[in-house]
Amino acid sequence: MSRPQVLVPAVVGAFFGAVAAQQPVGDLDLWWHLATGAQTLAHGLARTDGFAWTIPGHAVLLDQWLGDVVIAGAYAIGSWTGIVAVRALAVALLVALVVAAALAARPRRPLVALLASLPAIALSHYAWTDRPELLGYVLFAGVALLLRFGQAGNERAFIGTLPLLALWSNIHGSSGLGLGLIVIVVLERALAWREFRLRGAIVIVAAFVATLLTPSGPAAWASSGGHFLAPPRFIQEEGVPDLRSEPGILFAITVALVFATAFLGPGRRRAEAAILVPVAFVSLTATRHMPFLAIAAAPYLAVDGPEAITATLRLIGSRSWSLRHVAESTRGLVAELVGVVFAAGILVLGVAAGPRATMSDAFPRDALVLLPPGPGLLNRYEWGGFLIWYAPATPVFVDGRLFPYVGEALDDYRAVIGLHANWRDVLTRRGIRTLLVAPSDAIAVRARDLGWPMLISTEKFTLVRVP
Amino acid sequence: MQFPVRGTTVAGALFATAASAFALLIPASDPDLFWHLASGDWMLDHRELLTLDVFSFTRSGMGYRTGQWLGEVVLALVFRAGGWLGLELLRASLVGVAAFFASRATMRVQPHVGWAAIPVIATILVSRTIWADRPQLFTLALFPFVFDLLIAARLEGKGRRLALLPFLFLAWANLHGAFVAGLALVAVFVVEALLARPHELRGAMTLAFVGSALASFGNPDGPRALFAGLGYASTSGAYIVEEGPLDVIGGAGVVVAGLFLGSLAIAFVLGYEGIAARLSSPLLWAGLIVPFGLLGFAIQRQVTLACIVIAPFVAAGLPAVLGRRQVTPLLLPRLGSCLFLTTCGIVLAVEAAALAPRAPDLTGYPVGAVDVLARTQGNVLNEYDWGGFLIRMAPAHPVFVDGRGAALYVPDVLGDFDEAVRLRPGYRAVLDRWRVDLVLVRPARPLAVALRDGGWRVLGEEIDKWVLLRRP
Repeated sequence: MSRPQVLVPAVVGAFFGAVAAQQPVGDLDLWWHLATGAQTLAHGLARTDGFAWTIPGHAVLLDQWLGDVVIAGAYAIGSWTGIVAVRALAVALLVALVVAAALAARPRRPLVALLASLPAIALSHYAWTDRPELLGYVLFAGVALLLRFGQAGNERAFIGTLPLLALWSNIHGSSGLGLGLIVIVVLERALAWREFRLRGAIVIVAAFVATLLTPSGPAAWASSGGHFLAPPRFIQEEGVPDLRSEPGILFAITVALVFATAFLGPGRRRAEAAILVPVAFVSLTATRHMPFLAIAAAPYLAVDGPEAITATLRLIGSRSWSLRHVAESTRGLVAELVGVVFAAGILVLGVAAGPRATMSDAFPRDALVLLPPGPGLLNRYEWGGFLIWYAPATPVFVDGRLFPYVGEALDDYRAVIGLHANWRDVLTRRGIRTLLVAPSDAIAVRARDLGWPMLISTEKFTLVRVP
Repeated sequence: MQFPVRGTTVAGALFATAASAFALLIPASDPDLFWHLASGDWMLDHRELLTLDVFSFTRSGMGYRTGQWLGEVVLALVFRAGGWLGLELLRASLVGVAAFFASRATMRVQPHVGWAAIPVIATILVSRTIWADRPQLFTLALFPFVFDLLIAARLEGKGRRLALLPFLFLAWANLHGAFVAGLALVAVFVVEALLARPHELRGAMTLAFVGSALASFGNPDGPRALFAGLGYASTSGAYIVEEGPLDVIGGAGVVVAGLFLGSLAIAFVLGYEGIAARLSSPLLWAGLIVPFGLLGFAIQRQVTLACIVIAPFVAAGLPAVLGRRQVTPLLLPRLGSCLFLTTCGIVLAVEAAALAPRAPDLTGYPVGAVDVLARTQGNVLNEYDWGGFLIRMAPAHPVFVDGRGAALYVPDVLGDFDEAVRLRPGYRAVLDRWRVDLVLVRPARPLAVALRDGGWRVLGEEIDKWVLLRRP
């Protein structure tokens, strides 16, 4: 791996950051992240829930507290534009890190690096939303880049992963992947290099310690592990990757490229196996994990992809082809700095040109004025965050934080929404007074059949008073 | 003079015996078995192909093809001759054939049984997910058979065996629609032979593929059966779980992910030269593992096909990664081998006589509703999974929907079914449009809850299993 080059990654990253800035704000989960972050900034970390009336005083996960604060801080500084700016910067960083890793593996071949980065850019774009998860991808790309430098012999890079991992553990729960990857890569190197074993052991212990430097402490492992082993499959992004969907097809292409390169490449890539095999497994576990393999594989595709093509052409008897050696560039620090400034300009322009409004048409905005204050509302899961932010006087039944609700609250939610046999018992036992649901939900259909008062009803939502 | 027997053949027979023994213990219970039997019976009784629906009231008289007419006739004949035990024996035989050829294909590249055992056993365990008594069993048997023939031709120069392929595909195209996967398998070998091999195999492979494709046209749908297979792959996962994507957390998914990613790890280490030295043509293995692996992840019922093509690579590649030298196949005395194989056969026969179930497992079906239905009239909206059972056990009541989903009910009827049982806004319109007077569903269905509330009379129920409701 050569010294990371800045010019091309910065410009490419800025371009895609500017593209990402054109999407209006509207992620389902943004709102509760915003509310949680704002609460933290105003009153400090809250360890128990204060948004839902179904889980009073329940302990909440703190694995994304810093990500929430970043989002809330951006909003406090620049309103929706501030949030878009964070998104744009995160995407720019993510793409820049991927391209930089590919370019470091295949120096002075920016086109090859860009081609190798395309799967990562294409797949990750489904996650270019306003959540700590996007920051998690950035940190994953950073850790993966440092691990590759470590594998190439720069052992200080392994040390560099530790503060990133500590930061990651406070920004998003996907840090468990980072921990696992660091352990596997360091172990692989320790197996090959006896003299590294003691240093490697220290790095591994330090990595575990880094993940404990969170308000949750060891509980963060339980939540991260539990989430990974038992993902809530009824949530689309937690579902099994569907290779017949658009992102699934892109993922399948990525897998095919990695496999083809491995089968037709030069081999002796145990270090690559240490990174890409566990990441590939994680990528297969859930739709939201699909981008990880593409991000991690970009440098590998840049290095061995051309070799695999050459081997295939030789195999089928075509004229031999290989990449020409390119002389060391004389481009110096000044040129790189100019490039960075240029990239920053692209990014700022992109954010400035982006939309100012939120996508709140997707949410039950018109129901807000009719919501009764106090407990008693049963709302659809995906609107919970929106209601937390826009109707704080009406606590929610459930929202996108999910895990505090697992158990009785979630069971009761499903019993009512899905009209299970005990739905009336739940309404009575919980004291549910109002329903904010979709018109196609079974409970909405039943309520209409029973003639319950519809306070407001549109194509997207129905607000029903429970008699 | 005794001609010795390859140890891999005997080992393959051992795997086959174990798999068959396992398969013999499972009672029939698959939801689709019943409508397959009913279809086969109809064709035998009427001596013509069943091309129009006669079992439902939602698609009555509509033309359809499942591409499995011969498989259904075979099932019906076996049932007529041997009852439930007959079906058990058929299943065990086909599972055994599958295990034999899957293991033999693996041991062509890895004669050491110890290294071959783990991926072979993993494949057999994963295949358990498709041991249902349906024409799909013929695909389970034929795919590894074809794979073994192709591997023998490609790696051992036994090109003459390719002459069997057209005959196999002629049968396969009438037994089950997944012959398309078999053609895809042959196509991979042909493409590799055209790209990478010297002359002697190109002609044989190409001829085999063309002959197989032409032979597969010898089915009632002709060439359209090919497109039906491809169309199925793109649409059915939305409604039917087994045709949805594979979950790698738990169950067969972990095993499949282990094999798939294991092959990737091996490729990383061995690379082109290492693979070529141990397994010949890296292009061939990439061409097999990538598309079939992705097919298995996309449609979980096809995952066994993925395991069959991955197993040999893992079996041979893993010891290569660990630096173990390649072994040559062991040769065993013919007499001893015959005695061993005979013993295996005797064990299976004794097991079949003593332990094989004589009746199906009907715990998942509304058995108690059959008598009630016999005393009532009217259109019944039934659970998808119970459609086949009702076709066979309550033929006086045409069904709303059954397991012929992809062939007959997609998308309209399945859409209506969903609308009704999930109590979507249009549920009343569905019930009225189809003049549904009876509803036979699981009690937890929102439709059941609402209809009970709404005054529909309960004609019969079994707590937590089924409820039969009548319109007031």
